[in-house]
Amino acid sequence: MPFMPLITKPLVVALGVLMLSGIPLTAEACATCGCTLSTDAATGYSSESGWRINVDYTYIDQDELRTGSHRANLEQVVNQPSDPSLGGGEIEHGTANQYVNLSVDYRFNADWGVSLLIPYVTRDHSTYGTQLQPYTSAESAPDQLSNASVSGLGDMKLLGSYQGFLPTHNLGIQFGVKLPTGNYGGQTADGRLVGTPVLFKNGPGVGQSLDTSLQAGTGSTDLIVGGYYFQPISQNFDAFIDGQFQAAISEELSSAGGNYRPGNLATMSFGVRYEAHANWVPQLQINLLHKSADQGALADQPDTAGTVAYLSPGISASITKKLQLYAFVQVPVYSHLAGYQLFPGWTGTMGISLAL
Amino acid sequence: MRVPIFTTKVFWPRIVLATALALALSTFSPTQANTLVIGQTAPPITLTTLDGKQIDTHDLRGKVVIVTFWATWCQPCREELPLLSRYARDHAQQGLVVLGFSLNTPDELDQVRAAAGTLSFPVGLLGDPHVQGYGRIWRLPVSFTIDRKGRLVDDGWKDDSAAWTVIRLEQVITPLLNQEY
Repeated sequence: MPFMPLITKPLVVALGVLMLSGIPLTAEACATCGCTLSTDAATGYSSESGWRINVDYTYIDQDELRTGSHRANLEQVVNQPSDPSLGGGEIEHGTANQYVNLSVDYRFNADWGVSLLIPYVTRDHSTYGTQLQPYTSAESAPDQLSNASVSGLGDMKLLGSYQGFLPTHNLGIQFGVKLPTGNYGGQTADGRLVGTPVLFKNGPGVGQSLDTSLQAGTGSTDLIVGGYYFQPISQNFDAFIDGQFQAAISEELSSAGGNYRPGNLATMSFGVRYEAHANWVPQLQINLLHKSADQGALADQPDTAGTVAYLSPGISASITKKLQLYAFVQVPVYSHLAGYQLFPGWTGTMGISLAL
Repeated sequence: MRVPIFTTKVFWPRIVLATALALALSTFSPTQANTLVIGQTAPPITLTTLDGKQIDTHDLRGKVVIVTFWATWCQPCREELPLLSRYARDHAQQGLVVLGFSLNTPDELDQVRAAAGTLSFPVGLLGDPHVQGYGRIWRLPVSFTIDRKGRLVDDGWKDDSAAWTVIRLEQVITPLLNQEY
């Protein structure tokens, strides 16, 4: 071997634990709208031991109804429903999500690290409710809108990581759990409330439960496994790839008629970082996400599966040796969604990362 | 109906873009790109040795200087270093100076000290791999040679076979040592 590509240690160390650890796998209502940005790739990977705190803010405005790979119109939702047995369909209006994620990372040494992710979820959802065929414009009149707002702690994640496979510490695995720390719940077909769901606060649906998939938490404990690899590919560019799989292994919502299990989720990100400058690093990510349908009586099974791809340009900057900022925009470049789902035209993420 | 400004379509893209630009501008620093040109004055670089001594290539006019980058976990480096160490020892009287910059992290210092104990030339930790004038040190081993007049005569980024060999040392370094200052 004539030479070894060097694994650059960033001037300011990155998050101690791994890429997708910063991802709040939320926005389950649009199954495929969860954040997919690789925040560890955004800030650069690290093998330096010690504490690190990361805070990021993500905004996702799901304001476009889509089906398959196309836009959907309101008439389509009712007259060609994803679940024909209903005799109509729910016309969702919009879901604006804001996530503030606090991540506390500790790396014991170059090989081992742990991370705790604590999300705070703010979500405003509006819907015209389920309308029966045939569709008429009256069904999407303003007075048909019902609104609900979610604000609270989401589902926390505890992740471990190991990157001691190579002396350059550029190949790693991660493993952990998502815990049911956020409020969860829903309403059964016979009107019974289960869990502690947020209810619609106005409109025709006032007093009814917001969809289970739109609550702050899912009520499930999920196993998470993932891996990552990164390497310089030239003097000025690094390339990276990471992936993660998450699946529920137990559900708090498990009663007959009131059960719910979020669909399995697989994400992958890859991209390049322009490393010519020590203090600021432009980069480009491709983020892929595939989600299977939610299951259970409280699930909107026909409308929760799909595959999406985002193109995500961004930049990270080292303000001091210990302080790093980053900002990204995600633009969807592909989507194939089951049923009818609200989808964002773009998403934005800003973050700050501090080594202690 | 009033719409909160943060829910408008134009607000957040502008905020994110403005933040990104502000970050880039606020952290702007002089270029650390590779500006090496054979025959031109080599960019200065200072080695802080493991015992704290500072050696600046600017102060080594009249010497032939090999600036080499390595790491303990780099197998090609481990094969190259004994060879380079012997050559440096044998030609020190002719004015050869080798400066060894380790890409190891501080928590690997013990390993670096152990390796440095076997070498005849001074060694120190590089720290930030972005080196002014040399660009980012992105692969190892890589070396740069400076003649007695301070001019770059060998650019490691342009060498297909980056590691030193006896033949290559004789071809590149020995003629420089035979030149008068």
